Amino acid sequence: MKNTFFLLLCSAIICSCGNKDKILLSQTPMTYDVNPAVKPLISSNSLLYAWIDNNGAISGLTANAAFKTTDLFAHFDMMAGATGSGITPYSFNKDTVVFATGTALSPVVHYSENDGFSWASFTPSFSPALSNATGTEILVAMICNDKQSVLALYYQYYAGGYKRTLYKINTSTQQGTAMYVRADTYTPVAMKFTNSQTGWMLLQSNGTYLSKTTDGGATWSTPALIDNRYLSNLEAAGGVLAVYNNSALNCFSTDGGATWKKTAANNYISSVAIADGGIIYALTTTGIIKSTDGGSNWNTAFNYDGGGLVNNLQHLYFRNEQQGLAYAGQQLFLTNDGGSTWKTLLYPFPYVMQ
Amino acid sequence: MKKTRINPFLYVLPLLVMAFSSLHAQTASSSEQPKYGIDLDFGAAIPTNKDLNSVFYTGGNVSMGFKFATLPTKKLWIKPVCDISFYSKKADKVGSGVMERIDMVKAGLELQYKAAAMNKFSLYPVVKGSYEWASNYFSKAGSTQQIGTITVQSIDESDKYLKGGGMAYDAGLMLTRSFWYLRADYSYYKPTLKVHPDIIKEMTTMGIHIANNYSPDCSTFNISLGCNLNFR
Repeated sequence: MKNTFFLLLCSAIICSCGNKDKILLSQTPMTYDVNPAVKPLISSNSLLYAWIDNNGAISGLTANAAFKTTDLFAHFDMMAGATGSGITPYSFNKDTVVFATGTALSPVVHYSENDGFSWASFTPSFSPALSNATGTEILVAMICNDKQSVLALYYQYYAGGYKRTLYKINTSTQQGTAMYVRADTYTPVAMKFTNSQTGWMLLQSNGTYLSKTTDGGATWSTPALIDNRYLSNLEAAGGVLAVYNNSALNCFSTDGGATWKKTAANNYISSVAIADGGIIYALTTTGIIKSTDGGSNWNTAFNYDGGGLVNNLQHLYFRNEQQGLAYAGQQLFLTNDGGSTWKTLLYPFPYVMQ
Repeated sequence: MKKTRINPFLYVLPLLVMAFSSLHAQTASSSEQPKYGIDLDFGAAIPTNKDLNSVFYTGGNVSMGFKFATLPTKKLWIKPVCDISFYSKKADKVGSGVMERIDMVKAGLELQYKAAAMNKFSLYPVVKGSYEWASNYFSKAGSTQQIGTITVQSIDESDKYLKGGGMAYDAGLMLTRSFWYLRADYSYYKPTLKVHPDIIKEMTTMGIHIANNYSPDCSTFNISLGCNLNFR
């Protein structure tokens, strides 16, 4: 009887032998928060811009690729190709992107109307022609305010004088025409348009000033002082304006720049997103704050102290009060509840990067 | 996450066998039909489903129950029973010298029916219904302690990473001969195991969503050798 038992026992052990380097816990059902297939999108790469359209599709541009997804990166389209470093900041207006490379006197315009999936690059001719014969030309900004043209804001300084010139470059004819020239003491630092006609130019001269156009840039209002300190970042949506400089001073206007509200000194704002309805979200050193009254009062929408992955963000995009994106480098997060909770869409988790 | 305990099986099992042998010797001489009995067996549990079979080769089990005969013929035995199953294997991926373990404890009711008898052998179909608790954890040999002439090895244990329970159903055959019996049965057991909250939290920070509960198929084929003590 004993021999039979041990024979059976040994047979059973041999029959059940195999690769047993698994642990039971590893068999517990698991799902990845981030699709590992996004590795080419974030590996050795950095997010430049991301936005979400009214259908929930998320598009954006990285240093090495353009991307678009309609199902939160379960599937996504990607167009590889380095955008290169520009002599102007990238100017994004939803699916339209423009920036310039080359030199200020001989710029190459890179223009895309489909989130960077395809680009038109050209060297425009200028009338009057660009010249640094009397000073130094600086290309301050290149923006797109409609689908037919881009605006190039130049600033020239020379002995005892300053001049700013706004060229309108037709993307079909590739011809740039000076539509506004002004010589005064102001230095242009930023420009934003909210539609093809209405835009604002941020100027500095012993303080920060704002000038407004309502005719596509042909004429501009007399610069009005915002604050005696220097601010260089401008965001605009509808009639809401945000002027800030990652400092303790942040100015907001709900009437197109006629009047300003200045926030409390303890909010260091590094990025601002203005959602539909004039809701303002801002990134601070401690998280995300929100204002529903044009910057007078602020509430904490998300605090970094809560732990988790959402931390050290660099940019915000809010489509409306509830839905928005936050991103930085290799990270992209989505909220559908006004910033209270975030879903991780892109993140360099080990299982993504391996 | 670390606890220390002494493995009790190593000390309890030999004592029980010795006690059984002694009691059996006192009652074996009588020819009356026995009404009561105590079964004790130990053997191997072989996982039949890949959920458990891909993790452990074979487990050990120990079972003990007090039984009483029913029906006028005394052919049907009813046995409240307690089983302990334990699986253990090296988990080098977790750490050097670390063992992964699953302990299962079940309490239930077993029916044995004497279906056939030939010479000194009897054949019993057995069925059992029970509730079984299971816990999955890791252990590592800890410090040693000298108590008199005995060296005691402590075992450091982790928290229970998976813990839960569920109903288990067994069916099989038992072949008895005098004091000994050989038993083979199939046990269906699919517990609901709860994942430790710290694991869920840690996995979340790693970008992995792990289910709160896991229901592996822990069904086994069991063979065991036992001894019984019947008395009136």
